[in-house]
Amino acid sequence: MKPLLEVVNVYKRFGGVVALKGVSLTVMPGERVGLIGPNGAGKTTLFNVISGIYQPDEGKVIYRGVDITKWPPHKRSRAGIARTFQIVRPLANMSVLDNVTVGALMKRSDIEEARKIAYEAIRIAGLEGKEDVLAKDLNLVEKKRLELARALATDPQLLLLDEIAAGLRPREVDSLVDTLLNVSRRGITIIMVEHVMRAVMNFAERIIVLHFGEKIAEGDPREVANNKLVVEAYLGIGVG
Amino acid sequence: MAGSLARINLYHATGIATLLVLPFLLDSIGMAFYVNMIFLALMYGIAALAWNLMMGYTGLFSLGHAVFFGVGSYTVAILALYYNVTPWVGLILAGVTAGLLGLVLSPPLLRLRSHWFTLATIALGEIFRLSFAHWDYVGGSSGLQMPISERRLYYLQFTGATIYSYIALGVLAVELIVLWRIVNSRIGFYLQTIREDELVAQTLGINTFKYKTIALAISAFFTGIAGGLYTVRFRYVDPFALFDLITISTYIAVAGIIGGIYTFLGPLIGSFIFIPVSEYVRANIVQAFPRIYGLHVTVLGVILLVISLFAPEGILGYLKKRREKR
Amino acid sequence: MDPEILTSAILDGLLIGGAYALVAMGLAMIWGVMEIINFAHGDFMMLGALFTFFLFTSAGLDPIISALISFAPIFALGVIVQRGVINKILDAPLLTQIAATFAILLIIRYGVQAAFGPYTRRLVSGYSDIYINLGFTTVPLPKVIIFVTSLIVLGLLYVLLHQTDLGIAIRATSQDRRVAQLMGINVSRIYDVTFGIGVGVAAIGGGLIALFYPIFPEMGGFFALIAFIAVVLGGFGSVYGAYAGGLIIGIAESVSALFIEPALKDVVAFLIFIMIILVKPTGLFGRGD
Ligand SMILES: Nc1ncnc2c1ncn2[C@@H]1O[C@H](COP(=O)(O)OP(=O)(O)OP(=O)(O)O)[C@@H](O)[C@H]1O
Ligand SMILES: [Mg+2]
Repeated sequence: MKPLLEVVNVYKRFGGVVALKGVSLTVMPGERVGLIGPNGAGKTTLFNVISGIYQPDEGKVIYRGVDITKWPPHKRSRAGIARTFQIVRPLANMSVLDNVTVGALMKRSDIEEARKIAYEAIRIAGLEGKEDVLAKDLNLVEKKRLELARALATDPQLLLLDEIAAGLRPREVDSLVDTLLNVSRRGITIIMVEHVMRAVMNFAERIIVLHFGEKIAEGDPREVANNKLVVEAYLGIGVG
Repeated sequence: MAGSLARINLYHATGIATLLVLPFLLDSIGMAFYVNMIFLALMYGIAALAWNLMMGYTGLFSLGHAVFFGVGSYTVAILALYYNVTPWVGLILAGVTAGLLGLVLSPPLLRLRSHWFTLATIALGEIFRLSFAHWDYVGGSSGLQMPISERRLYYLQFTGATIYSYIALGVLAVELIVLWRIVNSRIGFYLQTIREDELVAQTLGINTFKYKTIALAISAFFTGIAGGLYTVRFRYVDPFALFDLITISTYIAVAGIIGGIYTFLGPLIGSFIFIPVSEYVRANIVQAFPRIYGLHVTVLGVILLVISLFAPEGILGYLKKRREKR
Repeated sequence: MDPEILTSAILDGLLIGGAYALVAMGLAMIWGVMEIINFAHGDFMMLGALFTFFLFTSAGLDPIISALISFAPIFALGVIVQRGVINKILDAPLLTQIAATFAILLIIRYGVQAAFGPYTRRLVSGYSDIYINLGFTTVPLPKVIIFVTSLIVLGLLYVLLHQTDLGIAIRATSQDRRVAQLMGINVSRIYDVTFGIGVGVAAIGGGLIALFYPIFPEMGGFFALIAFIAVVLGGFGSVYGAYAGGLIIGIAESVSALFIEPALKDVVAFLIFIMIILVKPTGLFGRGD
């Protein structure tokens, strides 16, 4: 089987800060990958490079065998790469339904059809009943769910989730993981950035650890959790 | 929001009937001043609705729509004067020229956002005004006079504003149908997404530049036709009247803001409120006291300020909000 | 081209640039501290020019003293405008902010036109034909005074911002409004003062410009444009950068006048304005997360 996504030796600098230092990783179709690392490790930056919001200074992003490094974001989302934003970005003055409908319109132009898809995505993300609420009137947890619904509505092949479990209670984390496992079962490849260990450990088949812009570990969740470097990275920064 | 606006209801029916009857009625009882007022409100209303496709739907605040308005005006005049083209055709070509201009301008202009966009549109208006004033082909600073001819129907020359009002109503009807279809289609959703968050729009597969260009071109098209109506009605074009920051660009914007930029019909309603007030002040107060020239623009400023502070959603937006609360 | 003509053009531009710099510094200060784009900035400048003109013609006061005095009434007007309008739209959507400050522009510009007539006035004073001989060229005294005054104002602003409690509070507020509030700073007072000083300094610029430039109600439009260019050149919100930007524009304008047909001068200026904001270094989106 060919990989769905290959990130090859990617560097990204912001002035003096080197956010990514030669990161490479490979994701197979249908995989469930957890991407962890202390604050400022470069996880969000990596998502920004994959989704086309930033151009890497060096390195390549290859998707389904095609070099997409130079592609603009909208072309990547049309090719099936969807994402959520860690700092939520709701379309504030539009209703929840309209927020998600826009996502669904990517692959069809009929509004009624798109609405049907949107209702379904809203249900999966657990926002049922909030369809007519303006996005700006949601609370933070709901806004995170909206991010998920909107991304799902685009019918993606690769889904990049940036800390959507933050702020959830343990029971809610478990139900989110259930939801995501269901999404994954439909063949959607998911990379999950998460600080909530309960979510990553229960969701991911493979975990990649970033630290100061470098990949320091990769492998089976339990293996990684016991990896000395990883433990040190987390303890050193003081995040548990 | 698109789609939830009611279809033709009693208000709309009444509005349409009034607009159809009023010019004829006022004309037949000899109130030419008010017929002209209706014409102006329609002309500005057409431009304000078009302007709002950029402002309310796409989030781009233009204070340079005089550029498209003026180019539309000149198109009608030049075609009639130099090529004997009837303004009936000229009106459509006015829209086409202005729309093409919108396409040409979009690569640089649409790279700009927020106040930078607004500032650039103001500068653009000045560039057109100064350039036209120095361009002999378009009559320089003295402008162009439409040909006077016996072929009145061909050159659209009628006394008074009544017939022009009906022509403007025809344009308005077409515009309303076109814009309504656009804002309720995928394009409408995409424009609003761009207004809310351009980056999110891109991650949802929207080629933001393409859709902003579409909005600009359509907006310019109808604004150009409104400018064409100006030429047909007043038969004289000059760069200072047409590329004017205040009486064209700002009037269009203020009509839109007063009516409500986040509503479909707001800019039209705003035009029918603002233009009569402005015309009244200009015709009665400023005319009577020529020394206080400029007062009507001051009043315009006060209106804009009051709306911005107390009802930034505009009159129709305010009414809509109140109705939703109940 | 005669090198002497060029050097005197550069010098002339540098001196006039002092007045542009004053207008630009005020804009940059308001921008940097309050994050408000004051569309009406040029019109406060025009008020300074007009005030200077009236003090000179009716009270017979020295025009340069008049220009300095114009700071006071325009500062007061600025405080009123900030209290009555700006303070209420700080958190409003950007479109509303643009509309509101543009409304202030309309009210000032056309209010002046209605009150004092649409005429062009000229301030002809004893300064007009005194020249200073610098050896290689001569320069008119009023322009030297303008430049020196602008330097003094720049120095005063520096002292204010860096050596006084008020200045520290202003800078703290510009860093982070909420944090400043938590530190016990009365943010809306700081904004009063900032806006007042911003437009007051512009008014001094206007008063000085009036020494060699015709005064009319719409004059602010062009100078606002110059101030915007200066602020962009100087880096957003940097008062000192804006000062340098003002000088650069003064020189660029004066030198380009040697080459450009006068009729097209303004067209070129507007084109350059659009080009500059097109390449301004703000990045497209800022942070992506
Ligand atoms: N647009 C930017 N400009 C400047 N620096 C940036 C930018 N984006 C990220 N950085 C820096 O790059 C580094 C990595 O940031 P990033 O947001 O990718 O970390 P992260 O792993 O997502 O952290 P967190 O867990 O806190 O979300 C940080 O030092 C951050 O300050
Ligand atoms: Mg992050």
